Amino acid sequence: MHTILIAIVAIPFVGAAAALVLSSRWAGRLALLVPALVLALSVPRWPAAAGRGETVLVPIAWFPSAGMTASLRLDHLGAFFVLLVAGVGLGIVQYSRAYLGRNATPRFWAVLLAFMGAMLAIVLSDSLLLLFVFWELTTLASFLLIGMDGAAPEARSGAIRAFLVTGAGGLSLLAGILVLGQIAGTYDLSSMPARAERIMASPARDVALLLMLVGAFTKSAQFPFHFWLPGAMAAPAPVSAFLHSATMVKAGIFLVGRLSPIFGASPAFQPILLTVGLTTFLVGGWNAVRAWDLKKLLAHSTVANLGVLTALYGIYPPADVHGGIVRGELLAITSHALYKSALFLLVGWMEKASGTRDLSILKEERWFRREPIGGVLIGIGALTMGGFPFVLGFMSKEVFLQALLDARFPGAVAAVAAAVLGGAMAVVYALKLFVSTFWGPELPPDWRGYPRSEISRWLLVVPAILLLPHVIGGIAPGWLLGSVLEPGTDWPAWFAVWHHLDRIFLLSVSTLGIGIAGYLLWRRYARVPAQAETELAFDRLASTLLGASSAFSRAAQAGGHSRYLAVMLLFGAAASAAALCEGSFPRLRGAQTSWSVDLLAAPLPAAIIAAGAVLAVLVQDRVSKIIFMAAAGYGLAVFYVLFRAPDLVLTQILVETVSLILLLLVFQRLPRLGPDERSRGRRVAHGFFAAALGLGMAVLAWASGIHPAGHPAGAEQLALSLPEAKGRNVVNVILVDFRGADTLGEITVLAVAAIGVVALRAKRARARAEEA
Amino acid sequence: MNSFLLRQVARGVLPVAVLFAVYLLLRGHDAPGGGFVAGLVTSAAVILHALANVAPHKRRRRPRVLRSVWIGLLVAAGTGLVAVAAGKPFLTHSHFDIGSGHGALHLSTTLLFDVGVFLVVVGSTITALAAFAEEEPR
Repeated sequence: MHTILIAIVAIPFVGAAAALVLSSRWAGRLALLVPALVLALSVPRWPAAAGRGETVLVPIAWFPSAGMTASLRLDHLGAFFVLLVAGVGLGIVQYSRAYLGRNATPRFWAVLLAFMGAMLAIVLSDSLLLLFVFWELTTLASFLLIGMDGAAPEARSGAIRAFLVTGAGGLSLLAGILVLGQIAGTYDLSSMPARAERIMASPARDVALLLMLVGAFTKSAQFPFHFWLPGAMAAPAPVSAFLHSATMVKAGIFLVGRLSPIFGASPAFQPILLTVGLTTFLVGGWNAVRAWDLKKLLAHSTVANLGVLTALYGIYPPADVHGGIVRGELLAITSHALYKSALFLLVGWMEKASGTRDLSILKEERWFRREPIGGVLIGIGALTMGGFPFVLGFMSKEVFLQALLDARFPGAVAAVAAAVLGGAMAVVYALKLFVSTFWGPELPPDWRGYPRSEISRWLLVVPAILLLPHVIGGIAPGWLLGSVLEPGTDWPAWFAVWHHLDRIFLLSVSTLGIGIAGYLLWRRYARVPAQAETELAFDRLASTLLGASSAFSRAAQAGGHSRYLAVMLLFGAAASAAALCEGSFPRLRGAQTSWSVDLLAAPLPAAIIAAGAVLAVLVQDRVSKIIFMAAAGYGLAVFYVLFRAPDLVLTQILVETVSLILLLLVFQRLPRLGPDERSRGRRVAHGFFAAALGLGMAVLAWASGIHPAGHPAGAEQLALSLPEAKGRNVVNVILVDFRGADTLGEITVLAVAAIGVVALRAKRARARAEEA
Repeated sequence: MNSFLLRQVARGVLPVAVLFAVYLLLRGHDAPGGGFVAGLVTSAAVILHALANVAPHKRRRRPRVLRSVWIGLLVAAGTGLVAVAAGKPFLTHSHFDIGSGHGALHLSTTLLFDVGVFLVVVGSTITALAAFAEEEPR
């Protein structure tokens, strides 16, 4: 069981690595294998997880000393998302192979598979920290996939916008996770509900909640963060279908589901979800009604639907949340994920078949005559999107309405009105998508789009498969929902439409009525706007953000060497002075030093250091300056010899040597030092800084000499070195074993620095090439 | 830098220095040495050789050592993951003894970790130095 969970997470990443070294053809085949394998591993787990409500916990220790785990968990909600990601993923891969053809590079497959792995890891994480890591990975993958066509300005700005919004949300999520972890004393989701009382008692709980909700809302494109999603439509159709309708945008909903058992008792939790969700529903719906690009229409309607999914968690009282699932949530997610990804894929096909996805052109043409199959499929998708009877979308809408009617909270009437209004707008854009696209007055022209023989059949087969559950669920909801999706819950068995003639039915009918009337009004009065003004506004926002960040960078990194030095040194001096002024250190008593160092030879290295330092200041030539500085450094190494620290000696000598070479290589490029051109005031200021810092360092050195360390770790680590780590060189044992994670972090910094050097070199080489 | 003496010394020093670095690396866990120091020794020797024996215009070719940075990072992180796979916390090292008594050969994953550190240090140091050594100053 343990290995199965780990395999589900690991398989896509292994696949991604392998895809990079394969040809694009074989990488595509491999990409097909990955979700198939994940499905084969996870489908047999579904009955246990969903029916019997079993939870499998795989504890994986990571840094026990820091309370960090990498534990995995498979429960009903997680298993549902695994099936969703892998199931839709399988269809998407097959569609991509047919749709992208040669444009599907190995890199594309690698990023897609890595995304799949990250998404599976999010839904299987029990540790919030692990969840965060993979959360960020999906943001990165989304950025790369939206910006796949790096030459197109729309793709670039869309990718940057999505990255800025979801990346900022990710940081907020991290902050929230840390606060929550501090309150709860654990980062494991599974142990948090038991500590809910402790969390509720903390005054910081709402801070944690709000920060985490911002993370969830940015990912799931909730108002006011919803604007990145339409921009993400620069990605190719299968990417939009997979990331930006079926899976990644649902990660925020998933997180809310995970949080609901923890924060359900908080008075802020439900009102926020309900308000934000319903606002998003209306804003997204209105934007979709106004959209003229079919893909943008779908994107805005995705935003609207995600609002419904969020609002569902805001309706039910905490007692009705079972394992992070509320009634109808899985139905709503399944319904939306399937029909919306199918519609995205169908619009991708439509663009190939008709040569456009611009509604202002398509509404004049009668495409149904030429493409009846695609027309029927889009029709089914549009029916379920609009919440018409006989499909799953109808059920989903009714459950939402029923929940709102049953709920007892202030403003319930307004919420019901918002739901009806949003539902009516869904009817409007669903009709736009189907009727206006296929039933125009004139026959479509022959010269636009590809002939049918050049379009792969998979472009219609995959969406048809994705739409199949909708038809089944519309006819036999009792079987699909009661036995498969949410076992143990009660659903009407057949033909969900006529199951009641009550308030809900009236509301449903009036939603449809208002929607149809709205559609007729749209046909009569809608005009194509000259410019999509909403997007311009958001782009302005994004560029303001970028501008602010570069202004900040300019202020913090003025470029002037002296400014850097002043800021860094003054900060260091102030920090150490603050520590000194605290004055809570116990004084070192008498001769407690156990160094037993023979300091007879000390004057020699001391003289070398002093001479090096003084000469470095006095000589005028740069190269001489650094050589004298190196001499001082070698003098320090002699001191380490006296203190019998051979590792330090070796390191000091080598670092001194290598940096001497580096400095020589750098300085030989600089011009000779000219006469001092600083003004008198500046020189006095520099002198003041230098003196203050020198004095500060001296005081610091002296103070650390006469005060004992707060918690000396040396003796303990010396004692543990051999028995625990089987090493006699305690310095190395600390580096590779006791503090191995620190070392790993340090070499990562080194690696990043090396990339920086290479990047700067490339930039300089380009600049030189342009000069020449 | 075109000096006969330097050329010959650099040529001779390189293999000795690399051997010495390997020695430092292997003994690191029990005696002064370790991946970081070994990496610096190697880098210093390689740079000395490059400065003395490679003509400046040939140094412009981008060094491939950046690859060793990635491999090093993967090796170091990978040794940590081995422990996770065995159900222990990340970066828990394991030790094996081949033979027994005084002549026993002691092996452990700490050495692999140190090899990772070594590769990263060599790669990033040479990359940084090579960036400035690639051409003659104006």
